[in-house]
Amino acid sequence: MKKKIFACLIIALSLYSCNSQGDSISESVPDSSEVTSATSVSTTVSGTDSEAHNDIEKIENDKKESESKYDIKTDTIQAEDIYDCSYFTMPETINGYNYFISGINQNKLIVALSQSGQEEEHIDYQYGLYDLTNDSYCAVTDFMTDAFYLCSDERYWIFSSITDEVTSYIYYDTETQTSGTIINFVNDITQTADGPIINGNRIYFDVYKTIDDNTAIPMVYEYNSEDQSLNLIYENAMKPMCSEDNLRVITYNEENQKYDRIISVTNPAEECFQNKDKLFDISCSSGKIIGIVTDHGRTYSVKDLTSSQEILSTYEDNGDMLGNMAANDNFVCWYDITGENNTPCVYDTKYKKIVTFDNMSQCYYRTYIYDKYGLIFDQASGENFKICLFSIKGE
Amino acid sequence: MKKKIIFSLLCSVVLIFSSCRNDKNKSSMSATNTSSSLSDVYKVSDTGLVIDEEIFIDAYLENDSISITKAKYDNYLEIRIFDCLNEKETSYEIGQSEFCNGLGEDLSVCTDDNNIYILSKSSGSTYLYTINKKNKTVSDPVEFKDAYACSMKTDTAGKIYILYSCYGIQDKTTTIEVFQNSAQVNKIDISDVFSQNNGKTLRDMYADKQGNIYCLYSSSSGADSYGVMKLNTDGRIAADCEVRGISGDYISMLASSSGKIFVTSKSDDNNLLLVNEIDKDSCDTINFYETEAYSIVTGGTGDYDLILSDTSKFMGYKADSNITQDIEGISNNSQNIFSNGNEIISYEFGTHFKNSLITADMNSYEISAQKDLDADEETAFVSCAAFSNGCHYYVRKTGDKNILTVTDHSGAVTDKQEINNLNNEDIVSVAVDKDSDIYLLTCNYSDELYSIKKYDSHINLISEFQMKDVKSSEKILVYDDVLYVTYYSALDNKNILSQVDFDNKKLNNTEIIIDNVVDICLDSADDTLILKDSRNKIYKYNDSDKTCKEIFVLDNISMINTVATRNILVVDDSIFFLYSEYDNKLYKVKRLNKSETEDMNIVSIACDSDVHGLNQIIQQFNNAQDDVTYVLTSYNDNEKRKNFNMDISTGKVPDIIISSGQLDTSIFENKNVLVDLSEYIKTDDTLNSQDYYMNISQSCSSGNKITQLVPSFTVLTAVGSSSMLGDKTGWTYKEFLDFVDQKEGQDIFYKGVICDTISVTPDKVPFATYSDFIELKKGACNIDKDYNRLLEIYKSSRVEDDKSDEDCDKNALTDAFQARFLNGQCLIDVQKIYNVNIISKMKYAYINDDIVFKGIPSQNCNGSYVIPDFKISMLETCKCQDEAWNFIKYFISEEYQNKVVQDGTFPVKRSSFEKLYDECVEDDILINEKEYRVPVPDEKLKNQINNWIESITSSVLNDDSLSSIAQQEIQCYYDDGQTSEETIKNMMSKIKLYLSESK
Repeated sequence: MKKKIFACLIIALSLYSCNSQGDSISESVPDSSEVTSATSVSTTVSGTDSEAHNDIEKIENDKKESESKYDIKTDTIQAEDIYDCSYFTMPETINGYNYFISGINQNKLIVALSQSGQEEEHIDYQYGLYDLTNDSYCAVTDFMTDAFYLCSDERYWIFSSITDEVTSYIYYDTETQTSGTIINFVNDITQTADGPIINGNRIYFDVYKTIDDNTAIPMVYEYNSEDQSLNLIYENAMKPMCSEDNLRVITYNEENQKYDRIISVTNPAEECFQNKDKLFDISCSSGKIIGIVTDHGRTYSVKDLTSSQEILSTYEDNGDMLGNMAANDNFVCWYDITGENNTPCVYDTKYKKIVTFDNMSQCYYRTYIYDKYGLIFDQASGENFKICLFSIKGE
Repeated sequence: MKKKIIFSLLCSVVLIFSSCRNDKNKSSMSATNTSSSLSDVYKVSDTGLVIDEEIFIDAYLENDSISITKAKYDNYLEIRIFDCLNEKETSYEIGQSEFCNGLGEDLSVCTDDNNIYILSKSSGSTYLYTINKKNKTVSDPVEFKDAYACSMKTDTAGKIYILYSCYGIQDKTTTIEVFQNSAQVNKIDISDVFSQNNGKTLRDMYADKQGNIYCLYSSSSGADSYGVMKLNTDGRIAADCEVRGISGDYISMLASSSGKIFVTSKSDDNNLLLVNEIDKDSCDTINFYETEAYSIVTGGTGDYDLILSDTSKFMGYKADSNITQDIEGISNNSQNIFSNGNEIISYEFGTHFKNSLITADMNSYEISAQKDLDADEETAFVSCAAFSNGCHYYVRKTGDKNILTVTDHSGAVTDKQEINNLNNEDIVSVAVDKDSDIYLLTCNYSDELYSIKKYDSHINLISEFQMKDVKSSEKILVYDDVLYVTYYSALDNKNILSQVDFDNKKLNNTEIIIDNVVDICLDSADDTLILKDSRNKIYKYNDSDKTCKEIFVLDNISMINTVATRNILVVDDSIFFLYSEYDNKLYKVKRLNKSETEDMNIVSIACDSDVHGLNQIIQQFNNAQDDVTYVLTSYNDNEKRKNFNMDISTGKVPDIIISSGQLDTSIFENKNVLVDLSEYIKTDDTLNSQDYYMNISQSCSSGNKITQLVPSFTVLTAVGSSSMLGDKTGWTYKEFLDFVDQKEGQDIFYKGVICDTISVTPDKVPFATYSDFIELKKGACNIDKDYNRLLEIYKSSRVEDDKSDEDCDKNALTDAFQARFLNGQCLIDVQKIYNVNIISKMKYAYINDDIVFKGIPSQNCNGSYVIPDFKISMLETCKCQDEAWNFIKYFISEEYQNKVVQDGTFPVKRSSFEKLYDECVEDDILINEKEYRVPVPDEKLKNQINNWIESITSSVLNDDSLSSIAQQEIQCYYDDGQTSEETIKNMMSKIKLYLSESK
């Protein structure tokens, strides 16, 4: 049988996702519901300082009304015990523009500003950094038509851009304030559902190369931002992941004709890990391979594939689906892609514990992470939506 | 062919035991009996009066002529060029077929003195077509492969500029190609100017008569940032300047005929057209204007700087005086407008309907008269028609208008009036009474409301009413001065024929007793009413005694696909015309009388089920051969099957029987009147007899003959692990009972809910394997004593499986079912196997051991049983046996056998059977939280399966008469109505009686 892309391995996620060394996860399609709130209110809550704002009290009351919808299979800890958590209310507009949150870079929000309505065919977005601590906004890019943020590090911001009906990955160099093309998805090369990752001056991503009408094989490319060269680094492989400077990819297993071999590109001598689970999504964190696995769609679990330790699972009867996992060497995050409310939490790979945000009630939460920083909020909330910025204590 | 579940057939009671007594006197049915045609023989001729590219509308018979209204259509592209200086418009109409690579929806159009240029994106590429204005010929296109954002501009001096971009994996090239008189004269690479990474994207361009190119681009240096750049003929930048007065969308670069350059945009906020006049040297904005925005803005002509249009009118705009003036004389209302120097060009796609009325001889089909209907209105399609009082009435739809056109007998228009009083309704059918009052059946499709309206001859509405509870309605007809309507009733869920009572605005029942009338027509000879029911039977209504006589059965006319036939024009009781929408043909059908059929080679085929595609197969055979006619008689419902015995006893013996069990072929088998087809298979040069599982057909036939050919089949068997059951296939009752005793305390069969279509609850087995103790030839029935206990085991294996969906967790049931072997909940599974995939799954997952096809316990250690999808027999009485064989062998041909594979059942041809393995895909099956890998069958498993199929020598008896006996008795036992001993005794006596009566 020919090598085929098995949809069951990594399903096509509807939203672009990526994780860089700086670590963020973003969505390409703006959510108008995130445009809210007239004033910005900041309340700091830590493990020792519990001066709760009225809003927080309300959140706590809401929380008591519902139990966790996750079957948590490892130890839990409250976010305030190990993180500095600050709660903010987002403004209705930024600089008079509608906006949505695209990610996080250090301790600042990446926001996309737009004057256009979502119904318009082409939309201009300006991307910039929003500092929650002083409600200030600093534009990073100009307005760009049909460009959607994917990931960033200290220097490069990566976007998916559509021009002349051609989709491309482009970068914006914040140092030189120039942009460039990483790849055009033309001819037999098509985009996958996974976005790129940044590791130093290298950008990694996978593509599909069409072989014939029925067959496409995944390939992993590396873009060198120093010399602007594009290099095919692994054929018949997908999902580049980076942790502790070790780049891993999933490769094709000739023996069982599955994509189940996770190998290190950086360190070829590293023993190959053969996945035996039904993978829905995968990332690497602190040297461990973490996956969202499913038992034929009945339940979805976050699992440390390296140790076979299940971390958290949905309940079979709930019909919840976990997806859009992102990880860096501090956190692993995901969310319920069915849009159902669930317990806001992340997995801390240092503490090996599920970290719950007890000051947030169950919601359709979304998490972005970057280095030691994280951002969690209810993406379904309407006006005056609140947001929690957290960072590892003492770092 | 769908997977046939023969069990359901076996278990259904169709013929009761007593019905077989009709066959007692079939002494005439011997080999020497003279074969007579089973069914009426029809001669079907394509009149050739409706051909592929025509649309049939209506037909009527008159004297010895048939008059047909039909339409021919062709799609075209119309290009209109308005010369603003001379105020003259020229139209060019080109058939779409002239554009060899097709046309997209959005075109760019330019002209020069001699040519019209069309730039069109179609099938992923962009093509430049050149149309010669003089002879309207279209050149072979120039292809711009993988071109994005392709656009075309003219310099108004005869040069055409094609601008496009191409993308590589990391770069983008932008090119301008220049054409003059359809030849390329220049090619300019401007990729460096508009590279992917410099933030400039080319949006529009203009080239002046000197060859300077002005490019309007957007810049990524800020929102709404645009600039104009002037390039020399070699592509070097001569000037570059930002343009500020731009807002909203529809941003274009336009030029007046005098060469002024404008960048225009439509403001979102206040519906204003913003106009920047650009300096041709510096590219700076030298003037800025605002005027009212219109939907179309294009370059200027004559004295006008720009042309504006809202599709109803054209206006010229003079920028410096800010004046807008109407331009007279342009006729079109197209949205697709271009300016070209002093010309305004528009294009539209259209369709011509050339409606015509032809009159032809009813016998020779020679056309005696042909008249184009209303040639001046070619866009008006005739939606429905009626013929009354010697006049043709046509309802023609053009745009939103409905026009009633009346013509005389010859097609000359005598009246034409617009039909009003329609409320977003389409006209479905028209009828006219003797007073020339006109009736319309209308439908508002958005609300699904049907109405009937009555107009006088001047199209004044007299009366109307809405029909209630009508799902659909298709036809109205005036008969005997009463208006009839056919419709599908939402209340009764069937087709109904009603009389229309305008006085009380309601529908009345008719005296016509035919059920499910779907169509009505008038007999041309005597204006009697002809009806067609949903079973494709044609009736003639006798008004005097209010009876209907069946005159034709369309289903018996194998030459015609009876789907969507209409316009049945009955000439007499043996001849009629009908139109087949499926074939788009007007057929003449003649039922041949006895003298006409005497010299014909006829092969009659009787079939008891809707064998997939049989009608078409017979059609193909009849079309391919002149010297033999294949005639089908369908016994596909109970009513028809009741006639089978009667037909046989009256000498209407078929030549071929295609039976899925409901036509009892065992009687023919017993009387030795079936031809041994094995000789044909062996001696036919076109077949390789070694390539067939002959045993499959032999298992359904007597001795080693093949009297009943089986093209496709399923196998009834019992499977388990070889470590549990051993490798030997087949077992006797005693061996099975010994096995049960050995495994006392263990579940032999699974008692949970069965969750696939392969497995069978064991209590169904006796219904299928009663043939085990019947010897048809000897008329003997002997049941082994062990069968008594076997029945008890089967009875005890029955499970309650009528849990409602709400009460059961389907996933849990499936999980449990799939784990039945691994969880020790069964040792054997009774299955009807029709694909090889399941065998792989059983071996590698469910059983997870080598599989053995142990088979069904039987007196003679038969093992597995063939369940034929259907069987084909040829009777000895067939006069044209070679022709009959030619037909039969189609079902074992590679073509048909490969279709069997596609339909998902077992083919009897070995090489086709091998293709089943190609269809297999590997799979992972999760059982008890462990994943089992199911590979495609390897050579070992393939050999095991092939050998197993090869070894099968028995078949289930799928003859309904015997089946019903077995079923009645066994079911009575299952229902505790009698003991197992009584069951066996009753079965034996009844079967013996049946067999003795069948001799």
